[in-house]
Amino acid sequence: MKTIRYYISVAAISIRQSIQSRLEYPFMLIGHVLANCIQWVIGFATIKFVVDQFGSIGGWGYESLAFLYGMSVLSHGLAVVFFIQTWGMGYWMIDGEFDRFLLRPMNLIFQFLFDDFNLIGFTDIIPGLMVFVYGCVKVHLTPSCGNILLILCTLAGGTLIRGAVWMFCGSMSFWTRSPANFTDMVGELFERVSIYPLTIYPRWVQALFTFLLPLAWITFWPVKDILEPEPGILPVPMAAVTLAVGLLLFTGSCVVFRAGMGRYESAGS
Amino acid sequence: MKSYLFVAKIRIQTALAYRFNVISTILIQCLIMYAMSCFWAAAYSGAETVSGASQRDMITYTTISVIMGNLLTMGVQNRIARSVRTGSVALDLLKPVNIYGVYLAEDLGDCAAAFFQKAVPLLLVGTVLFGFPMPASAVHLLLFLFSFAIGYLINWILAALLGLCAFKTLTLGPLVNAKGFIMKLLSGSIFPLWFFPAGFRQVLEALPFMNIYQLPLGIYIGQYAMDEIMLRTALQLFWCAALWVLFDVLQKKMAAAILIQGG
Repeated sequence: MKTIRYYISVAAISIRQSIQSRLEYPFMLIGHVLANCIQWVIGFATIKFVVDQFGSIGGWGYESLAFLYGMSVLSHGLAVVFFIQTWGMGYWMIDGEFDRFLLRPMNLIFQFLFDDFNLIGFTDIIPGLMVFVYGCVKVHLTPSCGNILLILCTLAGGTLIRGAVWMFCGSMSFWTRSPANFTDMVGELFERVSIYPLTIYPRWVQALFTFLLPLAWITFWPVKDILEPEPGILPVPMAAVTLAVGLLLFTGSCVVFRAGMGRYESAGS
Repeated sequence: MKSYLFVAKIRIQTALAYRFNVISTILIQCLIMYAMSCFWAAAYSGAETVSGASQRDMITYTTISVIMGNLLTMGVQNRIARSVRTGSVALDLLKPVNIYGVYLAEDLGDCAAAFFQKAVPLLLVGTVLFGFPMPASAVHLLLFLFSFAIGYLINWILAALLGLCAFKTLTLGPLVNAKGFIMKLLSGSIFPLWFFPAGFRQVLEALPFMNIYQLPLGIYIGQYAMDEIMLRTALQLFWCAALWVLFDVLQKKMAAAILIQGG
C-alpha cells in the first residue's frame, strides 16, 4: 500500500513537471493549437469534398467518415499525450539515457511511462473533438450511457494499440543498435487504416489488419459496430475487443521493452 | 558555379550513406500508393469519369504525385533555422558564396539523390502494381517537366521564406509541420482541387500552392486543354517571379537584423 502511494506521488510530480516545462513556451503551445486545428480540420474537409463528389467511399458516407476520423484523431492525440517518449527511444539507447532509470529503485516500465506527459498532445484532441462531435451529430448518435461507454472503451483501446506499436518499434533499437525512427512509417500506416474505412481494401488486406497486425481495431471495427451494430458475430461489443487487443498488445510491447533493456549496454564512455 | 556543384555532389554522397532511411521511405511510399489506389477504386466503384478524370487517370496522378513528393523534399527551412539557432549563420554569411545559392544547391543535390534512390524504384513498383503511369502525350510530358521545374522553385522559395521566419523567432517549432501538412492538402498532392466545391476551389487556385503539385500533375494526365495549360503556366511563372522578389527583399532585411547567438 505504501509502495503504491509512493508510486502515485512520483507519477504526480513527474506529470506536473512535464506540464510545467511545456508551459514554459506558451507561444509554442499556441502555435501547436493553431497548426493542429488547421491541419485536422482541413484534412477532414478535403475528404468530405471528395466523398461529396463520389457519394460514398467503400459504402461509407461522409457522416460516418467524420465519426471515424474524429475517433482516430482523438486516440492519436491521447497516444501523443501519454506515449510521446517512445518516439525517441533509439536516441535514448544511443545516448545512454536509460541509465538513470536503472539506477532508481523503481519499476522500469513505470518510470519510462511516466517520464513524460506531453501537454502538446491535447492540441490534437481539440480539433479531434470538433470533427468527432460533428460526426456524432451527423450520424444522429444517441448520447446514451451504453454508447458513451463504447466510445470510451474504443478510445482507451485505440490509444493503447498506438502506444504499443510505437513502443515495440522503439524497442527494436535495442537489437538493431541504431536510432532508426519508425514514427513516420507507423504514422502513415495508422492513418491509412484508422481514417479510411477498411472496406476500401481487398479482403486479404482487411484480414491482415484485423488478425495479423491488429490495427483495424484502433477505430474501424468498434466504430462500425457503434454505427451499425450487427448482432451475432461476436458475443461482446467490438469496443470491448478493441480494449482487449489494446491491453494485450501493450502488455506484449512491455515484455519486448523489458527484454530489450536486458540487452542495453549504456553509452560507450 | 563550381562551388555550388560541389555542394550538390556532397549532398548526393551523404544521402547515399543512409540505406535504412531510403528503404523505409520507399516502403512508406509504396504503402501510400497502394492505399490511395484502393481509395480511388472504392470511390469510383465503376463510375466512368468524375470531374473529367477517370480512375486510371487518378491512379497515374497518385503514382506520379508520390514520386514528386520525394523530389520536392526541402531542407532549406530547417537548414536556416538550425544555422540561426547554433549561430553558424555568421560563418555561412562570411563565405564568398551566396548562402541561399548553397542551400539551393544542397536541396538540388538531395533531389538528384532522391531521383535515383526513391523516384526510380517507386516508378518500378508503381508499374508492377498498376502498369506504367503513361502521360497523356509526349508534348504533355515535356510541358509537365517544365511545369514541375517551376513548381520546384516555387516550393523552394516558400520553404526558404518560412526559414527566414527563424531569423525573427529563432525557432520554427510547429510551423514546419503545419506548413508541410497544409501544403500537402492545398497543393492537390493527395486530392486534386477539381473535386472540391467551386468556391473553395477558386480560392485555392488563386494561391501559389496548386502550382507545385496539381498543375504539373494535371498536365501529365491531360486534365487541361492546351490553351488552359498556357494560361496556367503563365500564372505559375508569375507566382515564381513574385515570390522570388518577395524573398529577395525579405532576405536582405533579415540579414541586416541578424542576431548571432553564442557567437
